[in-house]
Amino acid sequence: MRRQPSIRLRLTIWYSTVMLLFFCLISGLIYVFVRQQLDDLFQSKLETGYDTVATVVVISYGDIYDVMHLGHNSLFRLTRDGETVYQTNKWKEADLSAVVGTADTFEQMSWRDPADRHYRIKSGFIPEYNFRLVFAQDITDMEHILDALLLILLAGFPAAALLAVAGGWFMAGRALAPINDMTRQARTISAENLSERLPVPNPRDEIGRLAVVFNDTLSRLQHSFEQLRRFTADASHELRTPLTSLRATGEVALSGKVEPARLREAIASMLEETERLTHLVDNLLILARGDSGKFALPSVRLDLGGMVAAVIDDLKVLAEEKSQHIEFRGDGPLTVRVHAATVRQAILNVVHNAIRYTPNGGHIEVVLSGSGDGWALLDVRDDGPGIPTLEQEKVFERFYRLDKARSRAEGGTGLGLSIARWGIRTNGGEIGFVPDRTPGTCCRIRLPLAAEE
Amino acid sequence: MHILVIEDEPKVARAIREGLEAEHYQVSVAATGEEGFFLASNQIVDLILLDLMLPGRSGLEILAALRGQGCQTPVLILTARDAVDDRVAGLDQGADDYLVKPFAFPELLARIRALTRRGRYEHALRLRLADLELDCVTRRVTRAGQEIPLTSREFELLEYLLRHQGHVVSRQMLAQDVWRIQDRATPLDNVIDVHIARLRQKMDAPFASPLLKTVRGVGFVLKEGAV
Repeated sequence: MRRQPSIRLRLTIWYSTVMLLFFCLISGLIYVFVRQQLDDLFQSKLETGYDTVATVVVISYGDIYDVMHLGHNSLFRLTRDGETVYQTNKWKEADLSAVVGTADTFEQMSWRDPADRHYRIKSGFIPEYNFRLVFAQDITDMEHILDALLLILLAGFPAAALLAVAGGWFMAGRALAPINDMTRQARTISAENLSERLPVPNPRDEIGRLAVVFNDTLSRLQHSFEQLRRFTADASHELRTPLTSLRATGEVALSGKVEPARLREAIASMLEETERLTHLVDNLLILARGDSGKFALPSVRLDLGGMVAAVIDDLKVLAEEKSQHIEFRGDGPLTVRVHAATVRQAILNVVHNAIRYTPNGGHIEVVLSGSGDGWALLDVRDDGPGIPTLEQEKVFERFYRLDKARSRAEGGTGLGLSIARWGIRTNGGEIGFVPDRTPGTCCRIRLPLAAEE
Repeated sequence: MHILVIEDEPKVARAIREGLEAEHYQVSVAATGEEGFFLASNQIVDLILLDLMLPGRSGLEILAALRGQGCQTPVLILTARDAVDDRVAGLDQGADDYLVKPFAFPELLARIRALTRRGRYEHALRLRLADLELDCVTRRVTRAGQEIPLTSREFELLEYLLRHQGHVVSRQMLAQDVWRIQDRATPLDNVIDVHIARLRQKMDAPFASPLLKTVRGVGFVLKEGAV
């Protein structure tokens, strides 16, 4: 791949190119304009000179004495029938008769002599006195002026180019300086100091907006990092606890000072811990697979009401054990197109949670309804202690627990709601707590209704 | 009954061998795919327990080669890979059953029994243990002539335990076969425990000798006498 030059260099190149093109255009225009003006000026000098001589010849009735007065600085010649009647000294010096001859075959011509002097020559006939008048104008000065102008313009080009490049480089540098500052500061931010932010001098200009966006990204990154750090800490705790207990129990049992009945006890306890670990690993694997995103879930059409009823039927005994009253209300069949196992697991986890955290004798209400705009809404309400508003999002994080000690004793892994959220989102839905009643909580699952077939 | 275990992890292989020998099965162990293939083709075995991740040739290759040369021995795959695709691949290659590690030993035994009794009619309509009797047709349960009223779930649970009487049944087997939950992560353990407690309340509490016993850390067993 071709390496791109830096933005500063590219800006400078663009800027200089435009400036120089502009300079060339202006120079060209100036040159053309000045040349046109000078040309007009010298042409009118030629014509005025000719006219003066012709007029003087006419008003002095063909007498050439008056004409001689005009002769000091002009070049002209008067002929009659091919014979030279009068020529000025300058005409003679320039030896223009050799060029013009005696023919009257032209009106105006141009001549450059070997000494590089340039003449414009006008020829005409004065019929009253049968004179032929040839008047010449030296236009060498005009050419000198134009040459000088061209020289100035050409000499100005490198200077202008230098100025444009230097100016462009300087201005691009000025414009890019805040970006360079940002780059330098961003480079110092790493996983260790993610809490640092870029300074935002003016949040309304382009650079300020970039800094704001960058800072937002940093915030999200910091949040993810913190989540990951907490998850790692929690996961190692959750995994090490059963491993520690397994190992300790095994070592004690092997120490040889234990009677056979206690040995059986030790083995049983180890098996229980194994069961816990298996369950935990299974849950983590579900989430890991969800994270990897490569989950081709075959979806089927099913009646959500039927699925909820079946889940509640399975869990009813747990509510009965705690003398809780669990009630299910649903209006009409609501058909969704989902992967049955993940959605079932999500609903089961949510209802199971409600039973687990609602005290004995509480009420749990599961209400299924259509939203009217293409969604099925499943509300799981309980009159338990509720979840503080600030924690209502956090409980969906992995291993997050409101009451660590109690929840572990109740047999939860701390992953149930994370799995529920993954399962519902994978199926195009959303899950969250909605403010509904106090005390207690209302967990709402939204799933898109299936299109008619 | 001769079972060939193809498993490269020595500890797992030893545990399986000891567990099966305790159940009076004759066991051979192969640590690599090649050795397993050699034993399976040259010895008469009644069942093969096959690990999928093996050094050398993978379990699936061994299975394909065995089926390719016309071997009809039932194969039960034991593997840590539980994705649906893996299961489908295994069963498509000709495996008869699939068990995900870690597994409960009673479940392995139950599946071995199921694979080796294939074809035999065993749907007894009247199941008995000591003075407990269950009639699958009338769906009545009696103990010592006394009728025990059960909910339909409790009935299914008792029927399953009776069909596996004398053998330990794990919670996972119950979740899978009685509650018909396929995925392992679903926490039905509490639900199962409650049902077992209720069943015990109805069929054991009023009588002198309890039949339904808990094997701590493993599961439940229905049998006379001590565990």
